[in-house]
Amino acid sequence: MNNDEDASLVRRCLRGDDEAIRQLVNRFQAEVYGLCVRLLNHRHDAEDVTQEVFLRIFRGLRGWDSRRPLKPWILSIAVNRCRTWLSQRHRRPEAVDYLQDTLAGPPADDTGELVEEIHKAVAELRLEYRTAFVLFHEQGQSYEEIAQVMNRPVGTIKTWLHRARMEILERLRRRGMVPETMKSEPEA
Amino acid sequence: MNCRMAHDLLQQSLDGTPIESPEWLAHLRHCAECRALATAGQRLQEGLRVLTAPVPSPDLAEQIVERVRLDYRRAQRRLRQRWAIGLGLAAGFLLALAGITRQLTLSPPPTAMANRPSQLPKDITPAKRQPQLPDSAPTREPAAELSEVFAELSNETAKASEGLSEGLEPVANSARRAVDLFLRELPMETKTN
Ligand SMILES: [Zn+2]
Repeated sequence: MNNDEDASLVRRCLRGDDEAIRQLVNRFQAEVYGLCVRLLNHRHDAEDVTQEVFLRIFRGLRGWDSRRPLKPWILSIAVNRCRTWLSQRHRRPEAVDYLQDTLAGPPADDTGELVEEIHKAVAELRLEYRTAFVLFHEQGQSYEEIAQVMNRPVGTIKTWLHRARMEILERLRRRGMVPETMKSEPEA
Repeated sequence: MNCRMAHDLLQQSLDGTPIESPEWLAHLRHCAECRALATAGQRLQEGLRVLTAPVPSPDLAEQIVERVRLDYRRAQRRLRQRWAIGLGLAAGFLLALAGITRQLTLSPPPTAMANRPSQLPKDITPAKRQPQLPDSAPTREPAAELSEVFAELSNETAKASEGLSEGLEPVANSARRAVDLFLRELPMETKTN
């Protein structure tokens, strides 16, 4: 869907068109929910926050700049909401249930374990790194789009994403997910 | 190539850019640390390829749509309430303004009334009394005069407001009906709160 179609959908939503509201929810709910699950590490909380995110999206639709793409604007609301939620959650026990993710195909080897380790590694990242990582690798957002979503310069996003990856790679190594490679050849 | 440059190329490959650099491969051959990281990078990409997005419960979309609709309806109600309050205030202001205007147009100016000869006490002739009276005496007679003028004024005001309220009765009734209508539209929670 291009920007014009988005703008038309948003205009219909603003008029209170039920079908348009449903269309917008259906189009973005999986992405918003997916992002919330990764940032909150909690499926039930993610459902609650997803509902709140959509209420905020619809309340703020008039504030969307139709010259900009809709998805980063929506994801930025989700990121902000998750950040607020996490800042208020510190007193509650954190239920780690991110291991329920299914694999795209049946695990033939250690793929299941690998996915599990990646999830754990992502969950342990600090929030900024985690957000940048999930937006890039799971939500398919570019550096520029993530910069918009997180309201930070592209350079900062690159730094966060690169550090996130390095932390994950180090964890995969520590957890034995990386086969020992052959001995180094002497430098020529 | 040094390790830092090798890390940059690893990041580029994780960005999705295919790297065909003989220098990088040469570095990986002799640097165990970079080689291990590159291998871990390959594993990360393997894992990300099979990773599927979390699936929300099937009724989440419907729950969201319902909440959004409810939120819209509440917002519309709040807007109507604000309009009703605004209109009520404006109507009240206009009624008050109309009353004041009517009073001013019906009542003659107080100075003209005070000068009317009939309003003066009949038994007093200023020429006769003036020299005999002490300094405080003349203030008492205009005071009595003023109180009569005020009595007449308030009489006329009462008549004017009677006429005004009769004339504006249809307006007041329709305003009351409008407010009743809006009160019926009030959401349950505002009634119970
Ligand atoms: Zn190296």
